[in-house]
Amino acid sequence: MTWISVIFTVSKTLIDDLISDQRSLRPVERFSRAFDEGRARTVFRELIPLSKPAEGEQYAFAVDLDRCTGCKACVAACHSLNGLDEEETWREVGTLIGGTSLHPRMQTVTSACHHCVEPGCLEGCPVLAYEKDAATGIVRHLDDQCIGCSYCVLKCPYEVPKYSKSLGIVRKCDMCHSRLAVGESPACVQACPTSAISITIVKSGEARRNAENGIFLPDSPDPSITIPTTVYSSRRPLSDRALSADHFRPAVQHTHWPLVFMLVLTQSGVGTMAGAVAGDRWSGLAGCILFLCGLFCSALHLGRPLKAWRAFLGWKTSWLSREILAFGGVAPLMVFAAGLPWVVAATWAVDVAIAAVLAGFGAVVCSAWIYHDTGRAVWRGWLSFGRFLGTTAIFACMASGQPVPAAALLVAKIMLEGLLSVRGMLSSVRLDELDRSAILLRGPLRGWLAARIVAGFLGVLMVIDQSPVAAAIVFCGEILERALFFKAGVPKRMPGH
Amino acid sequence: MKEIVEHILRQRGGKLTDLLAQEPSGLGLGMLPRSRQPEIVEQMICGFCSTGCALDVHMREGRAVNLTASATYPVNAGMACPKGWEALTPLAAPDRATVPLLRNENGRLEPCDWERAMIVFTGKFQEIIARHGGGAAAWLGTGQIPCEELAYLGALARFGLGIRHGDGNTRQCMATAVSAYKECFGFDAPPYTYGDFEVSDVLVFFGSNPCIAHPIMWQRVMRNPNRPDILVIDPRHTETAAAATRHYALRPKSDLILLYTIANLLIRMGAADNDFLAAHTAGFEEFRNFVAHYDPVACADATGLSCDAIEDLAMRIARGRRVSFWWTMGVNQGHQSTRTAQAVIALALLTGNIGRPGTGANSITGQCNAMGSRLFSNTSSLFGGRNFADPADRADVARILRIDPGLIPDSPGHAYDQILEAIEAGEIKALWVIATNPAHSWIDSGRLARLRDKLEFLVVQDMYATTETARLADLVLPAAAWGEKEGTFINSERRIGLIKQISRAPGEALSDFRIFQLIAAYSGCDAMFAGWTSPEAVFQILQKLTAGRPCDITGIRGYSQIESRGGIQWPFPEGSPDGPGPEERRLFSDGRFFTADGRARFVWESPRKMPEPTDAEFPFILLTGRGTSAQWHTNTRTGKSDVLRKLHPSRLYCEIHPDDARRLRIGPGGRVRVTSRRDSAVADVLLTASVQPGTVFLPMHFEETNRLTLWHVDPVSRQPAYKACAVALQPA
Repeated sequence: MTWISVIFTVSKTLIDDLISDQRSLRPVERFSRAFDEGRARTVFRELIPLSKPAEGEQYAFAVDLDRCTGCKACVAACHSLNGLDEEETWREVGTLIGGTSLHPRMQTVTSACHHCVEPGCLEGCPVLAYEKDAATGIVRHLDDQCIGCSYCVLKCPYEVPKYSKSLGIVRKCDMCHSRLAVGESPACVQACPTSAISITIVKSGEARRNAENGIFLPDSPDPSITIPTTVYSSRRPLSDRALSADHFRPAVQHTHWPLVFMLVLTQSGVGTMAGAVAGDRWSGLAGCILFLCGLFCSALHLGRPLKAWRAFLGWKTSWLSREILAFGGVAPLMVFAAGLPWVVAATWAVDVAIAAVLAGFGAVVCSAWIYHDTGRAVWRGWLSFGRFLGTTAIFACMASGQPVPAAALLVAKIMLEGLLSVRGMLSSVRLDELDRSAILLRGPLRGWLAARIVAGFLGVLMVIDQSPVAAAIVFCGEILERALFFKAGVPKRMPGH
Repeated sequence: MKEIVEHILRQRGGKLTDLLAQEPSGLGLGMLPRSRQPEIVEQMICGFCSTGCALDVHMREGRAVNLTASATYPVNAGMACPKGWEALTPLAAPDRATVPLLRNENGRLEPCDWERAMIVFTGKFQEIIARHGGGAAAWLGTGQIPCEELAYLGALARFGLGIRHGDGNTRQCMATAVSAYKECFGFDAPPYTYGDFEVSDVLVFFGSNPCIAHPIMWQRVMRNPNRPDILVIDPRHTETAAAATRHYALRPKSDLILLYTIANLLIRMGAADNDFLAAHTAGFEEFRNFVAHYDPVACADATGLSCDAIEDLAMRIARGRRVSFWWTMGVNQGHQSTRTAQAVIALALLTGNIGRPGTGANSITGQCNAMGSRLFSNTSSLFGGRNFADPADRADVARILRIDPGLIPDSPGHAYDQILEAIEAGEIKALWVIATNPAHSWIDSGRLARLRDKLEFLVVQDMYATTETARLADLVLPAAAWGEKEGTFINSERRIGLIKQISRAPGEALSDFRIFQLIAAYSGCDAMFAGWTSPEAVFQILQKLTAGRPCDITGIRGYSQIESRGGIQWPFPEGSPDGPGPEERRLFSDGRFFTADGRARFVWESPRKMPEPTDAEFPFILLTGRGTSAQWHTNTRTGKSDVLRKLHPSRLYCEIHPDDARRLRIGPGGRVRVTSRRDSAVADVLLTASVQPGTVFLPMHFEETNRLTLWHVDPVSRQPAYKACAVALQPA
């Protein structure tokens, strides 16, 4: 044995020793000792009210903008102290840019749930998974009640509820209610190095007056929609002209593919059923199948579809709940209308088909109302109703053997969609939601838009030509249209970065 | 009945609700999620910046499950920035280096065992040194690893392996402060304690944006009860400028002229503290004569500030009774940075604002252990802040380390930039990079990337095998990270704090300390390190190396005392009181400095023009700096956290003044191509008047930024001038 191999034998053991040493956690054990309450964080109990809210009052976040310097510790501390999932955050920090050349102003803005007086999330939830605590005014989410429909995400103007793919539900800020209940400050309040965030008590009436007077923050959603309670204050008021740092850089939105198919399938199904009114059994069957496929897709959209039977609970305020009830009622009618002509030759089969089509139209109206009700400018009014009823009508015309009206409707629909993409082209001062949507359509979504227009006009030609594949081509075009509906559906939102 | 119906219809509890349910921790930590209740808590210092916050790591079943900011530590008092809150996340990243990687004949990095890695490492270095001498090898270290590891590296590389040249990434951030302090105070000694933030009545920040770069220091400013005058001198309207009482938006790199003018105005106003100057300084008369011709009119012309603003700044400093002067990278990373830092020191000296609470000429350091690197890395200065050129210093170190004095060279060897230039010239053939990422962070990084082919052997020792630099390596050594090893850090206020092992390193990754032990064994110099058995054993050696020095820490009784006192600020010589901490101490309260005659020095030099002024082809000045508090340097660690990634823009962005953008037809939502003489990069446009017309700003955390910057260093400190070079803009 040479000396070299002696060294290597020794060293080989050294490597093993060092690796095993590295894997032990002995140093921790060496230092371990329990904490005692004497070391408790005094910051726990600061910056929260000494009393509970009285009648007509509630807890609210108060943010002193002059003390917020954008360190973003609140976001990370909220994440850690609440044990959120790796990618989940309940608080956000954006930037408003304003001022003049001589006196520039960059104001960072921290925000979480605003625990609104009239919460949009609560109003939209089909299963009553939200409640506004009577004593504290905190808007709480019942995680086990949630079916993961994400409608609250669309309904909240501040994008507060966050959907978790792994859990299949949304979760949101609860103002650390369990901390407040024992007299501790919420995580963000504890963690702000400059004490910019605190908890205060506000009167609901005052919050409403402020909201109606538009007192909130520049380049942020209109507070009169949900009456947010967060109080932003500054000795140097921000100009209304201040803009979010990402004002000119809207983000492409989530596509919700199951909803894309659900909407187009149910609408084309209702439309195709119109063929049965004219006595075409095959149209009735096809319409029914399309419609049922649409319902199946709607289940794919849900994070926890098995809990969806509770969806009737929210019918008083939620258009989603109403839509689900409507579809639930229409489905048997569609099956009946489609099946009847194959079983008996009854003259009243046409009346059943008419009833199914009318009820189906009603359900489609509910669908459109869901999006209209979010308040997003890109989904308001005809931008939802026109699209959804348009799709239904085009298929109704095709199924009833009316190619010219079908083609004309489709051409009009494509033209109006295309027009949306040229909005605000020359504006570089301030953009509204439609302008921001148009930026997406001209920019990152231009390929999608081109595909939609090509497929649409191909559909027009096929319809006029009465080609057997016309319906399929039109269907593809409408799928692309609906994907763009979501992708370019820019939300209202708090200032971003 | 109603309740049953209500229960069936509305499920208030269940397993999803339980996921976030909270209960009292019983450890003084308040309410915490039930699923992450700690059994014990370990306090340790954060591994990002030099603030040196303590974090309480929550341990459960031997695993680190969460952390909170320590409420009882004197530095951070229960607060941390987002990087600190997310400090555990980067440890679990999937791209951690878990085994050594060796480049094969096909040019691919492939796994090998430690034995092969060590044979290749020592074989290559020994062969190259045997062939070309120690001058053909170099190492580039860091301010991110503890003192004990830095010292092991410095001793092993210089005395054990005979590598002639070594430097650290601290050259990129702190070299200027070191040079300035050494000349003015006789030792690299930031004099302050964080308590000074809270008791000043005037705080002056030069090229410093603590709101973003050091948020927990800013916390201390916000706690100041005196409604202090906060004066910010910065070409950008930064977050700190926005929070200040006055912002002086001077032209980039006109700071030295402003400082000399302010000095002149202060003297003219009678604000000079003549008693202090006579008793404790040298060179004031000459300095006064030098600055006498710096008048506000010429200064206004050079800086773009109004005469009124310049006089106002001087007046506010003159009026203050406890004025503290703070500087960071805006000063340190300039073409005449040492003189600029020394001009800041001169303002403190001439107004007698030093040695008293709330005063000082105070450099805020960058990295978590930059201060430890300055004392113990054995690179630009010999152990303990000694001088390689001084035979007595060399003999001292040789005696304490029990090594042959002949092993200690009589000069520090090349600085960072000189090492790279020597590689370019073919003189240095082997390079060892430890815990730093120069392929991203060095100025003109494209030129650095081209140097790769000149190297016969490049070793990168890092926790990730995916850094820009690791991807260039011939050999990657997988290192354990912060949280997977123990040692000490020294923060900006000279406070020594502990880091501990609270997590297991992945795969076969080893702490840098253990890697150095292995290299010592394989290169046959382990006898020299017989006493270097553990980090704490090395800490005792470091204590001996400080005996009788300004940084004397011989009074510290082991890691346990550092723990129990809430960190210990140097100096802490033998015989220091053993009472419980925390305490705060500042230097020079007796007016005695560390120079031979005990007097502080005035050092000055005529300002020089920017190395790359703007011209018709490149009409804009590019400023670079920290973008957000959620990003650390080259983003290798912070980029691994989903939470931190949400807190900063995902793509490179460029701040441009709206007037410039209008002129160049660059739209607010568009993209812009920024071109320098080195390279060009495309960035998202951010229109803001926080940059001056004619200047643009790029955050340094994106890899493209340093491809544009200019390879130029301050001649005294050899620190790169990151802050200003000429660029052109065009819509992209």
